[in-house]
Amino acid sequence: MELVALLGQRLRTRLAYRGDVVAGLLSGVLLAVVGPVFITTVFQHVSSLGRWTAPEVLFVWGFADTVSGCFYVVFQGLYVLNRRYILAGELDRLLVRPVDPYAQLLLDNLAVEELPSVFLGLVVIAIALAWGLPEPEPWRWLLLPVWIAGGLATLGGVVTAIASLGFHLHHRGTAVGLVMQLTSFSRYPLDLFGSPLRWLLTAVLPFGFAGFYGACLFLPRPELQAYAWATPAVGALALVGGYAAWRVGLRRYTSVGG
Amino acid sequence: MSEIVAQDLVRSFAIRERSGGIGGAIADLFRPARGEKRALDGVSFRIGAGETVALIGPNGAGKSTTVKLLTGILTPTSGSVRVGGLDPWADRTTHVRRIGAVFGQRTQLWWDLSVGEAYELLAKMYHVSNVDYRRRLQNFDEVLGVGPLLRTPVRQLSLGERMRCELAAALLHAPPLLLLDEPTVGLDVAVKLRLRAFLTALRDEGNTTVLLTTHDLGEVRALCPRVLLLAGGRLLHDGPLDSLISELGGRRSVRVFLRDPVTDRQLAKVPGAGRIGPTELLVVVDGTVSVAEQVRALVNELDVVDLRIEEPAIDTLVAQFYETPR
Repeated sequence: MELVALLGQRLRTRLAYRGDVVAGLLSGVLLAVVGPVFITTVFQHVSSLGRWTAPEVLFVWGFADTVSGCFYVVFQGLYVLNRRYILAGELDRLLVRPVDPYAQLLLDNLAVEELPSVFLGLVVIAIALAWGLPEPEPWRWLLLPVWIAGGLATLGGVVTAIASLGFHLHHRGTAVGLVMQLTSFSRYPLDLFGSPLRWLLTAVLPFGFAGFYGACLFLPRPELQAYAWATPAVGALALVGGYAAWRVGLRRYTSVGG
Repeated sequence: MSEIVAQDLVRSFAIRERSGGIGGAIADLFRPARGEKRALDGVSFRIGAGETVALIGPNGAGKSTTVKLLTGILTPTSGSVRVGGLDPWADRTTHVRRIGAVFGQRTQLWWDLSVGEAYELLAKMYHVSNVDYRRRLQNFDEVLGVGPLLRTPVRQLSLGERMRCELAAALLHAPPLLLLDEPTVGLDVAVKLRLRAFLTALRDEGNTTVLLTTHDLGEVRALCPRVLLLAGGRLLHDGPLDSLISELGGRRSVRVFLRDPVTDRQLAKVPGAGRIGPTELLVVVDGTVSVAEQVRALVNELDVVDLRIEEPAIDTLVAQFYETPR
């Protein structure tokens, strides 16, 4: 109820800045198109990357882009948490309102202008299928929204924990942007990379589940199904862990003088 | 029934020293915080339901920290605080429904919304019924004049307009406790008086407990029967303003205007008198000599034209008191 009211308010104020939204939408479309164009260009010169075919690589890319698109829409607040809310003390305002402050942080910064990236991710998935990707069993498609949500939860949870470090460090910079750079790797089959990176993206910062592993549920790769099936559980775990880190940080919040 | 119970409240903050340059910034990453500063150092008090209490003290005394502990923005380092029987931090969502908070230094409203839109959003967040919402808004329009501002975006409000709107926003859900942190800082006299009148009415209704921090002692005298004085994180006084003044060694004095210039010999005969001008004296009433003796000497020795009894300058006294180490 309160959340719906806050959501409505956010949409209204965002749409009031029409210029921002249009510019954001355009740059979003451009950025989202670069990846698939790059992949198709590469595959005009080579027939396969490692043991991966063009439609497979494209599908992984599309899945990862849908997930990260959702992330940019929903979790945009994590990018400004440190500077605006922790260091400048804006969090005070959220803490005196009767809605969970974490939910308020996300809703106050919801980025509608990132929606095209979600849409384009889905288009890339469709292109991969049209390009000759073997159709997975139909029931697997029913799981697609759940797997996207699992990937989203993984990204959101991990980055929430990283952003919450700001409560303890009191530095002007934040590692959020840096850490998100790592998702560029999980947009491709992870066995293309060396084992340290693969290990990092599987066990330490499990972004692999927000891209490659999650996508494997829909690819004819029996050897990777165990990872693929773990996606929702990893997501749930990451989100619970991230929220716990947020709570610990919030307890350490010092506000600003006055 | 106590609305607020604070018990041995301690809140300390880590002090970090920054070294300059990039190398320094990297070194800071690995360097632990240097010591701590105690913003509150063992503060206990109780405030009953319906009381109006002022929290005064110099900058850095711990006033804002106290308010932030009561709102649930901060957690105490040790000690406990209960507001309406709840732990402000742990029971946040229930707790904040029972309080209204105004921070003079920063807005609680949304910059991008108009005042009216912000109120409607708050009404939804706090589950205020349509009937109550309209009735309260009408009341706020009458006493605070917020009606004409409803369509104005919050970012375009002047400071005075904004504070009126903030106060109304904080009371939209009729909370039993109102916390005001320097609500009148930077406001002109007209707006100050308007807010003061509004808070006086609120106090006299007796349904709302009010705790306000301020530097304006006129405001304290007009509004608050009870005063808490904080300095250096400790509670130094809890009681009426007048008892605080006498505790601080405040003295009344009598300004005396004479027909003829006073001679040194005449002056010596009036205890506690000092010369201000040729025909003007200041007689300090400090209890070391009886007032009767002072008055008798005045009337016998001098041709008095006029007398004026002067209250102590509280601001000066409090400032002196802060600077006295104890």
